[in-house]
Amino acid sequence: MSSSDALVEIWGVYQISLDSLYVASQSVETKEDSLGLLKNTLFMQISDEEALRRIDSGKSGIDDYLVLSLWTVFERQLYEYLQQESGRLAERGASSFSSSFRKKLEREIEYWRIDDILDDIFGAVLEKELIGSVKQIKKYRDWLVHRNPKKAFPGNITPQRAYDTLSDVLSCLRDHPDLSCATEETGVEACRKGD
Amino acid sequence: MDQALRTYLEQTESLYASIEEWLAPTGVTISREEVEMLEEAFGAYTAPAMTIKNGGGRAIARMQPVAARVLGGDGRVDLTGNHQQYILILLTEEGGPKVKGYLPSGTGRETVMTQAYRGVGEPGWYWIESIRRGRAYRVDRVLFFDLLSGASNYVFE
Repeated sequence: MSSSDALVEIWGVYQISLDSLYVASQSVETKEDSLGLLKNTLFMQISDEEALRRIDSGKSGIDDYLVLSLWTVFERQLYEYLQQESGRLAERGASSFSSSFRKKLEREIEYWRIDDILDDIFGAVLEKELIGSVKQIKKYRDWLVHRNPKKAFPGNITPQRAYDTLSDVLSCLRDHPDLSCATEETGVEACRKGD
Repeated sequence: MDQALRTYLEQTESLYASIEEWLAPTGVTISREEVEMLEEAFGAYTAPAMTIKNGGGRAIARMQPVAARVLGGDGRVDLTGNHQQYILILLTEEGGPKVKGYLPSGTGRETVMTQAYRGVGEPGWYWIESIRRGRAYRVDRVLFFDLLSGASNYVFE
């Protein structure tokens, strides 16, 4: 499955989860008719208010999980592009020097900071504003994971914005002629540099 | 006062009276207090709570009112100790609340009313061991001591 397909799947699961929570809240609101739907669930034995509060809490939780999931797939894809580029070095020459260089590079890539990768490498093929948006999502993702009270809240990233931004970036990269998985057919991309 | 709230408060008092009777020979002591409650359906009201203490005066468990109306029940009181919390549900309908279910019928399905919980007989306080299994057990002296021991880890002779 391509990373773009993975993002689409994650988004689909998120939408279904939202709808399921909506159905649950409607069942609570119309409990006289819907108690059968709530039978054998954790909604039994709590008040309506508590049930709706937990549904809201669940919604907030899945919003967070969506951003974490999208970022995991996205970041993995960026590192794969770097690995692919490193593979290209191998195609150019088989000297022992270039081979050692490539091996070292591939080992070190995993330790490079994502902000540096975005600025220093993908900055060659992506617009600065788009990279800025991605870094905001990364900051929000880090805050979700660590909840460091010493760090200021980075500002809310909505699920829709996270999905749209990361999908746009992967779309641009997929179609960019400089990247090894690019196809012949490329559309005009506002995100691409140097055209 | 709303009749449902009145029933909940009366049944809570009745439960506590039974608990006091069951615990009388054991050497534990009981103290009562009123707690402030607030529910959307009933507004602000007070309900009784009970603290159960060992012979040395240390609290081992508490009966805490939670709500006069819950999904699938007509009131809830929690038995809470250092080890566990157990939910006791008031069911005022014979057989417990009924829910709409569906049974296959011919080429379609038939709507039937079924019990929300299995094992419910006459109205009273019940403990649902597992929400997923949905089997209810009426709170009587034997069950109450099991739950109290489980909640508090206190050994009753």
